[in-house]
Amino acid sequence: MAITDPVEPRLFNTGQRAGYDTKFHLANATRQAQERGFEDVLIVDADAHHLNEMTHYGDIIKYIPDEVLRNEARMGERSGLMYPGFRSPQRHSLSGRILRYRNEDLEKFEDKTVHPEVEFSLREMKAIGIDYQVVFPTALLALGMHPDPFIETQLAWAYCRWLTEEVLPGSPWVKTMVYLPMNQPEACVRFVEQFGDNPGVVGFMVTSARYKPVHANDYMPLYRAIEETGLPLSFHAIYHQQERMFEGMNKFLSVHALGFIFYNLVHMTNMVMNGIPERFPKLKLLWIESGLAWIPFLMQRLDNEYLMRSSEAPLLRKLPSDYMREMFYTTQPIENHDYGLLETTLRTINAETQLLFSSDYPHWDFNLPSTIWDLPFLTEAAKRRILGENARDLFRLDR
Amino acid sequence: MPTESMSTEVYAGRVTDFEDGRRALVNVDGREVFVFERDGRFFAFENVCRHMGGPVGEGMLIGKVEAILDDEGRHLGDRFSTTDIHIVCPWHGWEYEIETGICAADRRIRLRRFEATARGGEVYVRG
Repeated sequence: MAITDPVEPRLFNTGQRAGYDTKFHLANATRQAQERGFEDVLIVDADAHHLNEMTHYGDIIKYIPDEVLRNEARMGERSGLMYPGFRSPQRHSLSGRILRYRNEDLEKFEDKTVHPEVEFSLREMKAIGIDYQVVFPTALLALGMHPDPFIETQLAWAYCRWLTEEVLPGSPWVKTMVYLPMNQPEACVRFVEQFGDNPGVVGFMVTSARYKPVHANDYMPLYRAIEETGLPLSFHAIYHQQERMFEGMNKFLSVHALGFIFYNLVHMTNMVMNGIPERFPKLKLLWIESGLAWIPFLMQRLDNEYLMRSSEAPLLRKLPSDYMREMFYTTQPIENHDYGLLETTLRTINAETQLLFSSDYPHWDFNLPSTIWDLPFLTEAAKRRILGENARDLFRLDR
Repeated sequence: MPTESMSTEVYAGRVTDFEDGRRALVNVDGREVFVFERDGRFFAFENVCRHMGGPVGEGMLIGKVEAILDDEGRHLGDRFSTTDIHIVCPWHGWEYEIETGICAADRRIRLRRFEATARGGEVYVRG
């Protein structure tokens, strides 16, 4: 097929001819899915994102419970409740090189039967070959660093109501994990009680950039409540550009590369060394969007030090790495430039039972199912577990 | 702009079809190939990024970013090269040299390259 009428000089994109359409942008992904027969493979995307939830800010803030705060949000700027660092320098588009960012406002959503966010999810799920998708916010992932815990809780409540009442009812294939405002632990329990039974909810999510330690005693009622639901508690990675140490890094790639593991390294260490898995043995922990290379690194560090200083971690009854091997992880952004290292990593974390495919679409470093399907050292059974069956079981999608 | 297979040579369009940065997609031996013109020369590569299979041919053409250092090794800023031009995969940003198809970040990786030539006001791609 020849293209004769691209709209924009110097750029050609089959989608751009008619504005922009995810279906066209992902045409090569669709071809991959067809070549690999993904129509016969259950694929669950354990981490994807809204196109841009801030587009719907006006719809979200009407659910803010506090009427004075709600009025402040309504009368203020679109992002009126967010402190200046809330959206740190966003260079996701690589100065326009990644075309979907600058084109996202051009995409048309015309299905009146579902919310545009659902229509977007279904469009890219169909293009990629995904059966179920768990969606998370983008901008709101930074709320954990909001200087006012009350505002974090209020906005999170409003977001969860909007998502569970206006968005998710549009499709049984699109799910979420409930945002937990961890700076107010007692409020988190109310979130579990309010939203935990919603059919669109498959777990609970902590956005990782935050300072309150996960072993604080006032979290214990929350962990008990989540354990009783049988659903996982996840830690979704995010960077924080204003992190004191990161202020010295002048490249987005530097902050992103370290930022997306930094907080999860700290939270995982505190979780394990304070014996949370011993105190709540049925609490399922899921670590999202930190890639995989950090896990064997931390296993080795913690095992080595624990063997010398076990008196500091009296709740542990086995090595730190043994606890970590019982937790769950998502794949993206998978570090697959060296298959030897990746094979070792997957073996180390018991990937066949503990690893869940995730795309992170539409973000700049998204992954496709082929990143798992094409690995030469996995059996087909292992690929099927990772691409969908592990998530199906963890999220109890057969409920 | 018809596409007509001539054994291993495929008609990609008239030279004038490529003005203003317009590009063509053609099928060469079952592979989707994108064709474009730059400074009077034609280039053709398979429309599959070596990273994750993205439609690299839909991406931006942009000069290689070069760091400017002074004689003491101090960084003074960055600039775009006017001679080393890259094509950028629109999915994730992998960059390739248009002269060779070699990946800018790892020279062991390169796009599948095809020969594109203009004759008689028409452009052809050879598999």
